[in-house]
Amino acid sequence: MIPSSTQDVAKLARFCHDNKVPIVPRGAGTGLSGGAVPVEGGVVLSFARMTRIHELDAASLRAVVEPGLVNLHLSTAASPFGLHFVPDPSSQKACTIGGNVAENSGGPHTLAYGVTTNHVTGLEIVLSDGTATRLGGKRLETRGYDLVGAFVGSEGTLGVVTEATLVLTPRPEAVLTALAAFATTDHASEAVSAVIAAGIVPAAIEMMDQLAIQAVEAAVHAGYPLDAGAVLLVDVEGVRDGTDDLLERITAICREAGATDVRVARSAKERELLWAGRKGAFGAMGRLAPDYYVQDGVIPRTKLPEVLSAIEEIGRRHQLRVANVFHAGDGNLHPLILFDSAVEGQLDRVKKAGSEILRVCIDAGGTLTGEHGIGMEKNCDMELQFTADDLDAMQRLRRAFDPDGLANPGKVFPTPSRCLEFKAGSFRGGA
Amino acid sequence: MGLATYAVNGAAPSRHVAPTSVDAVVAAVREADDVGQAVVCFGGRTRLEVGNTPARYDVALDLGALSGIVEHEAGDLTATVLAGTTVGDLARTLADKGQMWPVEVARPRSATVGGIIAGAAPGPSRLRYAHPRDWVLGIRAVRGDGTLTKAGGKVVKNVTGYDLTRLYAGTYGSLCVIVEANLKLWPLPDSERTLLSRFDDIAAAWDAIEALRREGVELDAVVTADRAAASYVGEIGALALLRLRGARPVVARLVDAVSRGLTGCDPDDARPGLLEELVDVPFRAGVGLRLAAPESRMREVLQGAVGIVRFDGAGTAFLVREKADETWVTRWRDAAETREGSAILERAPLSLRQRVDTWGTPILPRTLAARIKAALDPRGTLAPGRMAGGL
Repeated sequence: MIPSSTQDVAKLARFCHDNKVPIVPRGAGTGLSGGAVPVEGGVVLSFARMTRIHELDAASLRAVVEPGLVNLHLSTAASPFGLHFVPDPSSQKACTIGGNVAENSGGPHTLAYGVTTNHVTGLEIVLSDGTATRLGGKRLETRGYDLVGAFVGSEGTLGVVTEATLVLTPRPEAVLTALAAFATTDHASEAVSAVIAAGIVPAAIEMMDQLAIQAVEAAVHAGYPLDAGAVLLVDVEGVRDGTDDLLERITAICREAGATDVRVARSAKERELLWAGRKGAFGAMGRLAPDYYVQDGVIPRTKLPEVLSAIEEIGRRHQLRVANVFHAGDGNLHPLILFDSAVEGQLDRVKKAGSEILRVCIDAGGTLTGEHGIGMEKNCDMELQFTADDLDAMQRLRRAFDPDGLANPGKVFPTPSRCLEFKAGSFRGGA
Repeated sequence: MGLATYAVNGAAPSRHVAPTSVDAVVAAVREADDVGQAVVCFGGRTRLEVGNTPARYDVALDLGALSGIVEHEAGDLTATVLAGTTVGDLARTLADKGQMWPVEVARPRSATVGGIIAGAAPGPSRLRYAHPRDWVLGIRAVRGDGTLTKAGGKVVKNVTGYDLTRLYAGTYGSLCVIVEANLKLWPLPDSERTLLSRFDDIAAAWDAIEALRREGVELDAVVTADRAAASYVGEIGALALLRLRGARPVVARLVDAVSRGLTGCDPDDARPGLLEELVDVPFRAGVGLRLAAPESRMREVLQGAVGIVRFDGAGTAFLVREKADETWVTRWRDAAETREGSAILERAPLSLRQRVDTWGTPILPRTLAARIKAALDPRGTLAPGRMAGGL
């Protein structure tokens, strides 16, 4: 169904509720954990007709928008006011605000500015019984329970977003981008830790390993050094009087950690090209293999070297190539396991390797997903991170919003039918 | 300590517990829940009186002794602290490593991390660092039935399951007892200057600050006060305090920009502690009404008000005075609520509290709010009646 208004969504939800049919919201379908897939059937809601910006309140640094609005379109609209919407997932040219809210999306620049949830102050939602309600507003304070934060990232399982009030951020006076090349990911990781330890939080620090560099360079021709074992892409933003000095300090730290070359983009065009390489990295993997499976675990950033070696070892053991393109400053890994689904048995090995990687992240004090969500992909892994009591608290909240379990069922929480089978398989014996 | 010191807005408990371990908190909540006793949490008592008088109140759960920094991972910019840790103690430990928890509140020597999160405490850091919940990565909390649960994690990015951490923020001990928090930290800035400017009236101060913000001058914190509010700190006339922080050359450039923007009002270094004193004004007054509104409508909301302390740019202001009646509360509540805002009566004598609701008109449908309360505190053990809508 393609609603045009909150009233339409409410009517549809009421109909679904009366007929006990699940309701599954869908933005652009760019999600990586299957959040928009109707695993238990039901009605899929498309927001292709709800793409308006209701209000840009520049003085309050807020925008009020419909859920079908494309992420990048908001920043474009806010640009004349010198403002932008910070969360910038790589899919920002396609992905929608409703999906960003549901998945609590990230992006490279969350290092300094936080993820989607830090940029949402109000929502209008429709519950699965058709009740429309407001949560929060333009201000940071509300009267009573503030459910905005609980709703963001709930992956459609608490209800449907029909309007979002978002934080706009002034564009920085100066932005500088540098590309540092290293012989190994170990050296690059060391540089990341050293930068943070020096009390510097750049706007972004992204890492790519050699395999990723090869693919990206072949696709985008951004001038990435093909002989490097790893590169760091670093953005520094702020008041002009401070950024040059900051970048100099970062450059020095990188060289001390063994950087073979540090290149600073000399023009906006060069910056954009370097970033185009990063943002197009997943797409470029097609040059290396017909298929890839991307993981999204997060680890404390000081654990990068040991976890990256563990991932390499897992790939070797399963005879799979793993490329790494990730948000190093946040410790948010994206190992891309390359494979060919036409080769029998490969997909099973990939899934096994993926689960083992997640286990390594959890053991390092990390988490299952940093920005892609649990969805139908990792719901069986939830028990790795949370106790039955922890999950019960979440289930209680879910039932408070959605007593009949009609809002995007089969996501986030382990489902007995799928997960028993999962456990009985090789997973528990892994790692 | 005698039970009288644990009275909350006129209600007194029949006993108090001061656990020193998480296990002891679990036991205390479970015991109360088993026998149908109601529990009110105590931290540093800075936000204790916020909210309606609890409908039932038997046990004072004093978390002040549940304190200490469990872990500070400087390289990860994270720390784990017990709920009763004061923000002042935390700041000192973090400063040794050049870091901070960028949540600035009144009375840091008393205010506890758990209390700040539970009480959504306001402060001048709201301008740059938003809400306390934006600097909490995970929470261990005890539900109303005594179950210990964890939410979130220790890493800076995490979308695994619901973000209950953000749900618990601002619930004033009515959904759970926060016992431990994983905090996101930030580097301490290299240098800082706080400038004071005096004005004939507060509107002139607001004009000047709006102009600076329009120019894109990066202000770290701003507090303005009118004549009536400034008198609480021994100052005469309306004033604006502007704090600038960052690398040395950045602060130098910003000081320059502010000085040019405020020509004629002689910005000069404020005396040390003045900003903190202004933040403390709502605690010194007999009545304190906390206003929140979109920044673009704040001036409309404040039109004609007297006794203003405002965190400019952060959508927050306090109205302070020595005495008030319900007509006064209603007048300013209407002004805020009709402009997408709210007016919460944070500080007031008991006589006034008995005549008006602390929170104002609830936003959430009552059925949804009540289901959430029942989900996490089924028997109404935790501060029943304290929240909006009598929950």
